[in-house]
Amino acid sequence: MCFRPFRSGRRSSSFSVFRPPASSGPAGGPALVLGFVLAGLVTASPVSLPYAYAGARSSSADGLCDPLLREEVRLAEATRLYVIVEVANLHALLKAKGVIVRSFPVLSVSFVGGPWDTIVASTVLEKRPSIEPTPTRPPPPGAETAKRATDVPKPLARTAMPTHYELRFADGLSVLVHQGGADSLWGQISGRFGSVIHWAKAGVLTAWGRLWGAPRRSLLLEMASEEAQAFYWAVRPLMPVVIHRETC
Amino acid sequence: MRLIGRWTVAAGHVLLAAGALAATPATDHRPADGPGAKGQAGETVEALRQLAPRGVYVLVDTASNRVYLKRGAETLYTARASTGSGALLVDPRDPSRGWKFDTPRGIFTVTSKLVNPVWIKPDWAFIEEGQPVPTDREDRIETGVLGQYALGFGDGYFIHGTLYTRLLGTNVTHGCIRLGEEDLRHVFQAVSLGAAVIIF
Repeated sequence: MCFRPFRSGRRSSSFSVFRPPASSGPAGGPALVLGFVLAGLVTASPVSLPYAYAGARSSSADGLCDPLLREEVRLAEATRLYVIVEVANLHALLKAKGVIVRSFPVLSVSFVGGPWDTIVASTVLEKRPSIEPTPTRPPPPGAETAKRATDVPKPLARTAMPTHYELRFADGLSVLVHQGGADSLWGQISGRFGSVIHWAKAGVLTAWGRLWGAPRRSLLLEMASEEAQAFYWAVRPLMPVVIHRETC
Repeated sequence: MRLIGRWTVAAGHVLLAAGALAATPATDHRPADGPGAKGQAGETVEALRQLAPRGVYVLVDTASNRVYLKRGAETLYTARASTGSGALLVDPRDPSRGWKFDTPRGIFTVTSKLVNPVWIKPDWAFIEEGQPVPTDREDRIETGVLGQYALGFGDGYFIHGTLYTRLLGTNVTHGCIRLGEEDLRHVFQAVSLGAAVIIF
């Protein structure tokens, strides 16, 4: 089996990276659904790196961090913000000039498809869905109902941002974010549903890419609702993103 | 003015300084050495430290409408703000002409510090209010609406005061960053020309 999603979480205090047994079943309901979705589509091919990560390692590792630091220096030299997804530490960092400007805690991280290097650097092409306000047409000059400068008709607000979305990158990479960890029943149902949809989507894209010789990779991030919305707000097209699988 | 597609980013604020320009030299307060500064990564860490903002800098969160004064990783001051609404405005007389009221995101520097700024209203301000756009520059001048101070960070965008303090904490502006009177004074006094303004 070349595709088997595994979920991870902060389940232990020790850092671990492992490959699941090749013949073991998928973990969790979403993967079961995917098993049906992908049955017959996925043919034998190199394993698609279903790594799982848990917790954070406490010791520093210069050898592991150096490639990330070199990549970050390159990004920090520009006048653009960038994101570093530190998989092992379960957070996404919005940074500028090497300084963390916002940290987004991640509840779980999953890899689908591949190949995945230790560091994957790419640039956001688009966000789906795209949230844009409706253009407004003010009254013509002389109209009785003149607008005031502070009457903004439909301001964007972080709370109106989606909690399930896709960030598309070049070269077949996508980051799928879905809501998790909700307290309310509806939030839990919504989060679970979004998770299943994303698993299925990532699986189909991966299988489709394999069939046509175009490798696809998806990183699935589960975040709390507010963090997912804030992350959507913060990430913009053309923003560089680095996905780092080790810990520093 | 910058064009994004058919939309013009709607800064266009032109301000006159009635007061003197204040400038103080920036102090070097780069981040301290971390554990990763040893071994093979040491040089790279040092290169990264060199790129970090020096002295006090401004961090703007457009999602939660907060302005932070920072030095390194330390937060010195927090203020409620109003940032861009993201709204689109179409000129009813020329539908091909439009503006997007976004606060720009990225890394900027404080390019001007103005005392008692005066607003020279751009075209969109009249169009939005349904008023004819004046041809005389004098008719565009509006005093007392931008507070006591303004810090410019390029392309006609400013951190300035507001009469509409009840709207602080919401996304309602045309791209500039509004602060309350006390917060504006504090930020103005703490930030030097050339200081970084990081907006996300």
